[in-house]
Amino acid sequence: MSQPLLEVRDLRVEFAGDAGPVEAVSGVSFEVRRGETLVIVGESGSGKSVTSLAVMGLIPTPPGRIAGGEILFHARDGKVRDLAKEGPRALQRLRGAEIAMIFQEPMSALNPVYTVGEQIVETLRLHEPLGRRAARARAIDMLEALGVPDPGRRVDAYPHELSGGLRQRAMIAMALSCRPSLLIADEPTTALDVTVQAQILALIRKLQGELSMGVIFITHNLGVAAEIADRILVMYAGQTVEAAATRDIFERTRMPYTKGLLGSIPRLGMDRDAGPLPIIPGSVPRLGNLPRGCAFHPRCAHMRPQVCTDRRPDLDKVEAGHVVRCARWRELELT
Amino acid sequence: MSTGTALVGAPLRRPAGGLRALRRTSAKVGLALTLLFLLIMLVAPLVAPYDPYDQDLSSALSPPSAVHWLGADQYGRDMLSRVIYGTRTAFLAVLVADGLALVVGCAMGLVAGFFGGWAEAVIMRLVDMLLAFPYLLLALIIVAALGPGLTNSMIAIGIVYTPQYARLIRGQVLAVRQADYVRAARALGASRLRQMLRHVLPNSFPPILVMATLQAGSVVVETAGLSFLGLGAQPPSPDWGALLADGQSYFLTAWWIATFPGLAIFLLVLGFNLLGDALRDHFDPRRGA
Repeated sequence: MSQPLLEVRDLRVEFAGDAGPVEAVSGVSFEVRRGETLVIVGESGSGKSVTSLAVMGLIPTPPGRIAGGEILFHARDGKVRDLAKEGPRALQRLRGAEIAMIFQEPMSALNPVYTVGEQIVETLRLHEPLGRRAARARAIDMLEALGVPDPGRRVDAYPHELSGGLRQRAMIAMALSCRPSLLIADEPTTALDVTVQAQILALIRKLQGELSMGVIFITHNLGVAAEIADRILVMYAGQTVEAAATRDIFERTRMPYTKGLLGSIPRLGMDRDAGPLPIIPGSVPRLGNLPRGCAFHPRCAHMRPQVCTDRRPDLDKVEAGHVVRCARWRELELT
Repeated sequence: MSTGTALVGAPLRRPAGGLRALRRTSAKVGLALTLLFLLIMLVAPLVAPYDPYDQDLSSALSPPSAVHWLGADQYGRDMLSRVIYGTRTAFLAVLVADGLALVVGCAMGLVAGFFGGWAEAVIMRLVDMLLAFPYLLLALIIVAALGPGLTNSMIAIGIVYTPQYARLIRGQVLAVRQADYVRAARALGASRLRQMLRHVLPNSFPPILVMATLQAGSVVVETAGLSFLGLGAQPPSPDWGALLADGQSYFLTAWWIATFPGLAIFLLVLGFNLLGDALRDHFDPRRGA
């Protein structure tokens, strides 16, 4: 096993609301090793993006704050830093240099008034003592490594002059220009069409190998997750509901919610006469107003009164590396 | 994926043909008027037939003629030369007053919008307070406090126009600072100052440009107004407002003294306004999208 890079323990993030603080992330733990990809899966409002922002130190404060837990990051200088407690300046030095992030919308994540090259150069020079020329050369190398055709010319292009795929590559070039050891990718392929999506995923995997980066990949698309993940963490209403190695998530699902997510992916060869694609009824509960007991029980087909409605289930260990939060996982046959 | 759709939603659009909105007739007229006055200002000593301060009592109050194209005033000074030199005061006022308002207003609005909290509360309450006064009244109060004179009147007008810029840019900043590219810059280690100056400010700027142009017209009017009331440029300097005031007492007998400076004010203000309208149309995301 490679060395751990990031260890998140019992992370709690809360936001001030009209009726007191609301927990957007309540007690999430996970770990990312060098060269490993963790995919966090969940619907909108499950807390997956808030978790990643907490790691970046980018929770908007106020109204948000990290209310508890540890985010231990093994920095390049050999020290283990708790990002939940570091000051803003220390976090700012880490961001971009050791921890980088790419965003969902490649169009809006690039500043429209500067060329792509200027933006890569800016990030480089923020963290490394490079001259303009050297930084520009690095930017061109970076674009080339990302498979941007004619990088010497594209480096002077404005974002609107590039296609969606090229913009996302430019964004990745920016994020990876300082060779970070941890990359957080917040749905980086959602806005792209499927062929470009596949290219970008392949690219992220390749660079991950080259830089031996740890990657946290956030998505609501289990198809994408299957493609890229070593481990998958499923979040619901701010909590981990199931986490396991990718194969176990797909083949030994223990949590009805995960099962529901898997069931709602269209697959090639599906019988069209079998009726509409199964869906999970209802929607994610509002965080200020979580149901008693298991947060998923109002939408769950396997719900039993009292067992599921009276107390919140604990996160149980199914086997090494596989945890599930379900009161009935021992009795349910989901696969 | 086509790049055509990429333009939608971008704060600063760069249509392929350049400033498309500037091709309309009204825009052309505005641009032409502004450039004409700018040119006159630059070459004033070359085109003015006389020294604007030279008195020639023998031609006092002489009507427009081949010698004095726009006539002469009560001291026999050539009106054409005085109106031409008046462009210098007008543009100086635009530069100083509009510039002052823009720089100070943008700084205030930027700080208020970006940092929020008590800084925003203090700045925006100050802005509200200034906005509560009618412009000319506020300018009069400030000039009264500072003492009359061209410099003080320009400062006064600058102060009067500052809150509008502060408000406008604060609104822009509130929107722009939420943009993904600002978050992205932050996520890649940009400091607050860098986010503010390098990412938020340039993207908040297009409406400021429009406002600066439209305000330029108002500044010309207000400067002339203060001079007309004797609080701005002092005699004998050839300021349009002062010329207008001079001509006022002779209006029935020597109409040209007041008419031509008034016309100059009208044309320059018209120029700035048409230009400003065209710029506004150009940057308006609802047009041509």
